[in-house]
Amino acid sequence: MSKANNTQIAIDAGGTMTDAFLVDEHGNVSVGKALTNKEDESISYEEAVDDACKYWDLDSREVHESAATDTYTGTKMLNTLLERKGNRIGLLVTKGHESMYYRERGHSWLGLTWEQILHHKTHKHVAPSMFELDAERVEGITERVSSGSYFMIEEPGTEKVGLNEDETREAVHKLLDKDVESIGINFLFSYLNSDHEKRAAEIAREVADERGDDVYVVRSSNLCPVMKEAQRLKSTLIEARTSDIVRDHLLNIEETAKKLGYQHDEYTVTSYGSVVNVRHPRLYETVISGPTGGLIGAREVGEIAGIENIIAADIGGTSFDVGTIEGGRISLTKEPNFARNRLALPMVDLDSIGSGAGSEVNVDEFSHIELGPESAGSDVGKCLNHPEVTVSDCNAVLGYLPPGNFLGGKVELDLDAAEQAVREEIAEPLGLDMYEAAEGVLDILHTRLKRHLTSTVESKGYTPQDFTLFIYGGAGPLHLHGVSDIDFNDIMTFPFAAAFSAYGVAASEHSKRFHQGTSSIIPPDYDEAAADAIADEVSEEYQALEEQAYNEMESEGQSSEDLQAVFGASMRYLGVLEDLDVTFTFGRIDDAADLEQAIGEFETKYADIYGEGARFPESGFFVKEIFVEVIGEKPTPEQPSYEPTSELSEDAIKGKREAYYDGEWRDFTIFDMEELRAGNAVESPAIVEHPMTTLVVPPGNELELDENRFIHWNEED
Amino acid sequence: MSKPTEEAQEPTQVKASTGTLGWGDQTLQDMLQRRDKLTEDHEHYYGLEELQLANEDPIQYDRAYTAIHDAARSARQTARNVAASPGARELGELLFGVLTPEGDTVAVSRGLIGHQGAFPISIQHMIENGYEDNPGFEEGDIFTAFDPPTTGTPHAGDTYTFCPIIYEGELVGWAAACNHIMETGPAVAAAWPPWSPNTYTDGFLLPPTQVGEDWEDWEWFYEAYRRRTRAPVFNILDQKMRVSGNKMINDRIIDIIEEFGLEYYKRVIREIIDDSARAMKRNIQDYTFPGKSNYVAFQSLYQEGLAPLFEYADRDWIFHLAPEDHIDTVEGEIHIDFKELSPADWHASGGYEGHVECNLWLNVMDTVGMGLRPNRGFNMQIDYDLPKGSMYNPKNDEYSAGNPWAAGVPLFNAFGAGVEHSKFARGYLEEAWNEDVGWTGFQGEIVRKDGSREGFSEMDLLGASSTPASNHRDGEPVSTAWWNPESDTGSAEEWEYVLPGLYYFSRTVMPNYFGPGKHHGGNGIQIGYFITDDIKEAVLGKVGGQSSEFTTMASLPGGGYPAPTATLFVFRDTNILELLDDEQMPGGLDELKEWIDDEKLTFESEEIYKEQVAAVTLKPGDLYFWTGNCSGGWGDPLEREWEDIEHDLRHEFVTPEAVQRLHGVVVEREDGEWQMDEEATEEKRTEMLEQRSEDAIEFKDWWQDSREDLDDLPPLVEQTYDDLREFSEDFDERFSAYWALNTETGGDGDE
Repeated sequence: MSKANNTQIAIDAGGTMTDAFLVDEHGNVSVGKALTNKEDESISYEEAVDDACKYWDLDSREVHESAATDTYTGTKMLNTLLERKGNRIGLLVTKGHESMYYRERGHSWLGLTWEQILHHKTHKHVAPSMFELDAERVEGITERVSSGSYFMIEEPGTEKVGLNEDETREAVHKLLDKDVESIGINFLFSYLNSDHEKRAAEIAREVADERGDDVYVVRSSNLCPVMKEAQRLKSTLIEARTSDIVRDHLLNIEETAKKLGYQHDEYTVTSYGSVVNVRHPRLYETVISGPTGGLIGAREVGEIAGIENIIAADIGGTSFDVGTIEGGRISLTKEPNFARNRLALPMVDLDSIGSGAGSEVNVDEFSHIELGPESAGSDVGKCLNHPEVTVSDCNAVLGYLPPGNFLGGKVELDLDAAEQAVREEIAEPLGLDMYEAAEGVLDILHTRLKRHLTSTVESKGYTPQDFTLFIYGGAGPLHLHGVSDIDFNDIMTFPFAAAFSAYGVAASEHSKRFHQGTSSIIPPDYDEAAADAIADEVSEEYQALEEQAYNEMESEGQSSEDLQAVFGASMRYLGVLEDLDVTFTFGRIDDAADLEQAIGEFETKYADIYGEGARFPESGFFVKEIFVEVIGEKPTPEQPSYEPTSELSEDAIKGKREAYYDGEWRDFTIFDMEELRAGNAVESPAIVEHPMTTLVVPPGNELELDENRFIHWNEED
Repeated sequence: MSKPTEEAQEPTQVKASTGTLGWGDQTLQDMLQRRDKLTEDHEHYYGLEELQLANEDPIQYDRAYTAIHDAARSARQTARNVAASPGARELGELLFGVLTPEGDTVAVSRGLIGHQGAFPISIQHMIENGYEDNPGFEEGDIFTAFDPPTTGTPHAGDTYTFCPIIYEGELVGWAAACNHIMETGPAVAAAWPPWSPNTYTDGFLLPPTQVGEDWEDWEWFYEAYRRRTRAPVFNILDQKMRVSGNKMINDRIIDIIEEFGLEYYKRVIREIIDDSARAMKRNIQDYTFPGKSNYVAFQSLYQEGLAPLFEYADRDWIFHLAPEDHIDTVEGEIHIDFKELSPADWHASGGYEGHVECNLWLNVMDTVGMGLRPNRGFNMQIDYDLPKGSMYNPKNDEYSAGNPWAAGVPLFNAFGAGVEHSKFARGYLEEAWNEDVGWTGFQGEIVRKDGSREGFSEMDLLGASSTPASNHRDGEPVSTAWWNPESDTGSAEEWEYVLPGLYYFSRTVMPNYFGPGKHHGGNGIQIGYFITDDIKEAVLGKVGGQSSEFTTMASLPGGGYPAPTATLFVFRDTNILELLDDEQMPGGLDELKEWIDDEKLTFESEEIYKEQVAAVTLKPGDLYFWTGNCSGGWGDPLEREWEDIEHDLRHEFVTPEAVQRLHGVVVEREDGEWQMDEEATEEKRTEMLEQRSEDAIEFKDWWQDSREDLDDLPPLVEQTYDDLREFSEDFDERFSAYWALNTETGGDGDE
C-alpha cells in the first residue's frame, strides 16, 4: 500500500480502454482500467484512476491531492483526423503551389506494404479526404523568398517578390466566406524569412476582426520552421485542423483532475519523448505519443542502471518497434510518417516492422511463409477469437503460453483450435510436422526481429556490443529467447515489461525542442574571418531560439533557474541532401572555435556511420537547421532498490510444464515473476509467468535479477 | 532429401588448391558457361529441377531469403543518406542488390528496381573479358560502370558500382548499386542528352572499370568526374554512397554465410532465383488470357538542323514502338516480338540490351509480378526477339544511348497494354489499367555571372507521374513512378538550392490535362520558372516519354483517350521582372494566357515545343514553362458519373467548360456547391451522341480515303514508313497487306 506521496498519474486513453498508472515516489506502481467513454473522456479518466487507487486502498481524491503530476495522453488528435471532425480549414500558400495538399510529393504509397508499393495500382493520396480539403479553400498568394542556393548567389531568405497584401486580404475574405474555422499559412522558404507569413497572418486576423469572424490562424514558420514545404504543410494542416479541439479536451481533463484535488497543470506527451504542459502552443507535436513511452522508460531505466547506449525493442501483438538511446538521449527522426502523411516533426525514431505475437501466418501458393502485417490484436489467434492462425497459436502449441493461465487466468485459450489451425494451415501445406512448423514460424519471426535489431544498430554506425538490449511490451519476454544470440553488451527485460510504456510516461522529463531552419554555408576554403562571421550569425540564431525556449517554458510555470539547455544542429557536407543531427558536447556555437568543434563532431559522426571514405570536407559544410532542447524540473519516481538474495521465495516456483524446444519436448520449471526477488537467479529450462506476460528461458540460458529487480539474460556457463 | 540432377551438382574442391576465384576448380568464365548450359538444358535456373532446400526445410529457406533481402534493403536505407544528387536522396532513385557470381540478382532493395535486370551485363562483360586475371577481384575492390553497350546501364546517367564478395578465396557474389546521377558530361549539359548523334557525344562513359580498392575510391576517378562532368561534387558524393552501401552488403553477406554455411548459401541463392521464375510462371498461368496482342506507341524526334556537322544524323524521326505480345498460359510464358521496332539510327533515343532488360522487368513487376520476390527469376519466363539493327540492338556500339528511356517507356507501355488487356479478358477487371505512364525530365546548366557553370538534372516530373485510369477509377495525379515504386517528386525547397537563379512560379496540378474517358487518367503537372538577373543565363532542355508531336500511345486497352503530350513554352524577354516587382506573379498556364491576352505579360518572342529539346538558352527576364506526366483515360467520356465530375470540380482538376465539352455535363454553382443541370445535361449528351453519329463514317470509307492519302503523306511520316519497310520484312508485308498495296485497285476495304 502506498501513502500516495508525490504520486504521478499517467493516463493512456486508447480507443477501447483507458489505462491509469499510478507511480509513487518509491516506484510502486498500480494499474487501473476503464472502458473509454468516447462522449466524455473525463468520465473514463475518473473511472480508470478510481480503479487504480483501489489497489492501494486509497480514494481518488487522496491520490489527486498529493499528486506531483498528472499526464494524459490519448488518441483524440488521431481520432479527430480519422473521424473527419476537425476544423474546416482554409489555406494560404505561395501562388502556383495550390495543389500541394493533394499531390504531396507523390507520396501516395505511404503506409502500404512493400508488396502493395510494388503494385502501383494500389497507390492513392489520402490527404484530401483526411483533411476534408479541396481546391476551393486553397488560395495562392503572390510572394517569393529565395534559398540563396548552394552556390551562394545571394543571402538566404532574400525577398524575390513582395507579399501582395491586397490579394492576401481578398483571399482571406474568400476563405471566410466559405466558413473556414482555421486558416493555415505555408509559404516557400518561410523558415528562412518569415516576414510574409507573419504579415499574412496579421491580415487574416485583421480581416476576421473586421468581419466579426472567429478564426484560428496557424503559420508554418511559427509551427515548424524547417525545410521541405510539403512536410511543413502537413504539420500545419494537423495543427489547424485539430489543436484547439484537442487543447479544449485536455483542459477539460485538467478541470476534472482539479475538481478531484489535483493542484498543478495537466501534462501531455510529445512525439519526441517528453511531457509538456497542455498549453503547449504546438500541440501537433503530440500527435504520435503512443509509442514514445517505451523509449522514455528505457532512457529512465538506463539512467538508473547507468547505461547510456540502449536499443529498446517493444514486441506487441501487431508490430516490433525498435528505437535507440545514444549517450543517454533518445534518437529522433524529423520526417516521420503518420497516418499515410509525412510530417515535419521531431519524433522518436522508431523503426517498426509489422511482425508481432499476434501476426497472422499465411502460407501462400508458392509455399512462402508470410507473417503479418494483419494481426489478431487482442483476439490473440484461433486459440481465442481470431479467424486466422497467428504466431500466438504457435506459442500455444509449443506450450509457451499457458492455456489456463493466460493474462493471469482471465482468459482461457483453446489449445485444440490452435493445434488444428497450425496443423492444417501451416504444417500440412509445408509438409512438416505440426510442432516443427510452429517452431519454424517462431524461427522466421525471430530471424526478422534479429535482422531488424542488427540493421538498426549498424545503420547508425555501431556494433551490437555498443548497446544493451531492453526488451519489453506484452510479448517482449515471450520472444526474448529468439533474439538473445545477438552479441549485445547485455540483454535486459523487466517485471513490468507489459506496462513499460506507461512507466515511461510517468517517468518522463518535462522538456521541449525548438528547431529553426537556417542556411549557413561554410565553404571548404573558409578563413578565420569567414569562420568568425558564420559563427556570429549562427550564434545569433541560437540566442534567439534559446530565448524563445526559455520564455515558453517560463510561461508554463518553469523557473529559468531550473532549466537546462542542450544544443545541436542538422549539418551536411555541402551538396549532400541528407542531414545528420549532431548534439554538441560543448554547448552552442558562439565563436569560430565552437564552429570548428561543431564541424569536427559532425565529421566524426558522419564517418562512424557511413565510413571514412564517405567524408568529403573538400565540398564544404552546410548548417541546415539548429535546435535547442530545454529540460525543466519534474519529479520522477525512484526505482526501488532491494537487498539481493539468492534465496527463492516459497511461492516462486509454481510447478513444471512440458514445452517444445529445438525439436523435442522438455520439462520447463514454471516460476511466478511477482515472487522473484532481487538477487534471484533462474536456471533453464524455465517459463516465468506474470499476469500480463510470459518469459521463456530455453536450455542454455539463465536469468538474474539485480538490486532493482531488473532481469538480466545470460548464457549459462 | 531428393538429389539435384547430376548436371546441377556443384564441384566442391577445396578452394585453396585451385587458385581460381570460381567455385571449386572453376573459373568465373566456367561458371558463366555452366549456368547458361544448365539453365537451357533443364529450363530451370542452373538446372534446378527441384528446389531442394526450399522443399526440405522451408523455414530455413525463408530465413535465408529474409536475411539476404535485408542486406540489400538496409544498405539502401543507410547509404542513401550519403547521396548528394536530389535524385538519390530526395526521390530515392537508387538501388542496391545482392548478385550471384554470374551477376544475376538474388534480392534487391527498394528503389530503382528495374536495374536488377541489367546488372548481369556488366558482370558478364568483366568475366568474358578476363577481368578475373587482370585486374583480378579482391575484397574491397570497386568497379564502376556506365557505358551502355558494355555495362547494361541504359544510359550514362544510370551509374552502376559493383564490389566482389569474396569468402575463403571464392567469389560468392557481388554487391551492386545503382543511382541516377546529376550530369554526365555530354556535348550539351544533361543526364539524358536528347541530342547526341553518336556515342562520342554521349559524354563521360566508362566500361566496367576498377576505380578503387580497400573500399576507397582512387583519386583519379574523382578527378575524371571533375574534368568530364558538370556536377562533379554531386557525382562524387553519389559514388561514395554506392560504395558505402556495397560495403554494408558485403559485410552482411559474409555474416549470412557464416550463419548458414557456405554450401547452403551457394545453393540457396540459385534456388531463390528459380523459385521466382516458377512463381512468375504460375502468375502468368493464373492471371492472363492466352493469345497475341499488338499495341503501338509513337514518338517524334527533331534533329534536323541541329547536327550539320553530322550529315548522317541531320534529320528527324518518328519512332515506331511496336511490340507484339504472345502469351502462353500453358507454359506460363510471354514472348515479345520486336520485329516491327524502328531501326537504329544516329540519334540519342536508341539503346542497348540493358535498357530492354531493365524496362521489361519494370513492366513485368506490375503487370504479372504481383506477390513475387523480385529478382532475376522474373525475366526467365519472358523472352524476346530483338532484331539486330533495331533501335535497341544496333549493329555496332557506336550508336548513342544518351536518352533511351524517352522512347523506351512508350514502347513498354505498349507491351504492358497487351498484358493488361489479357488480364482484363481473363476477368481481372480491377487489375487491368491503361498502361499509359509518362515521364518528363528537365536538365541543363546554369551559367553564373562569373561565367562558371553547373550542370543539373531536375527530376520533379521523373519522381512521380500520374497513374492511368482503369475501369473502376480515375488515375491519380503525381502518384506513381514506373521506375521507382516509392514515387517522390522531392521538395521545391531542395530543388531551388541546386537551381540558382531559377524560381518556381508554378508547380501544381494542371486542370483538364489528362486523357479523358469514363474514368480519366491522372492530371499532369505544370511547372514554371522565372529567370532572374542573379545569373548570366540558363541552358535548359526538356526530355521525356510524352515529348512528342502526338500522343505516344496510339490506343489503349480501356478505349479512352491517350494522354496528351508534354509541352514546353518559352517566353523571351518578358516584362516578368517588372510584374514581380509590382507583386504580381502568374500561378499557371491559364493565368499566363489571360495575361498575354490582356497584354499584361509582354514578350519579344515565344516558342512552343512538344518534342524533346536539347537546349534553349534563357536570359534573365525569360520564362520557362513545361507541362507533363498526365495519363490516359478508360471508357467513353459521355458515360462519366456525376460524383466523379463533382470531385474533379472541387479539386480543380477540370473546369466547368471542359466538363461540358468532354462529358456533355452542364454544371452550375448553387450556395457554393456544384450542381448538375440534369435537363441541360441530357440535352447536351443527346446532342453530342447525335453529332457522333453524323461524324461517323463506315470503316471501308475511312480505309479507302486513307489509302489514297498514302500517296500524299507528310514527308516525315513517309520516311518513317520507308525506313520501317526497308528494315522489317514483317512490317513491309503487314503494311502492304493491310493497305492492299499489291493490287491495282486495293479492293474495297471489306477484308
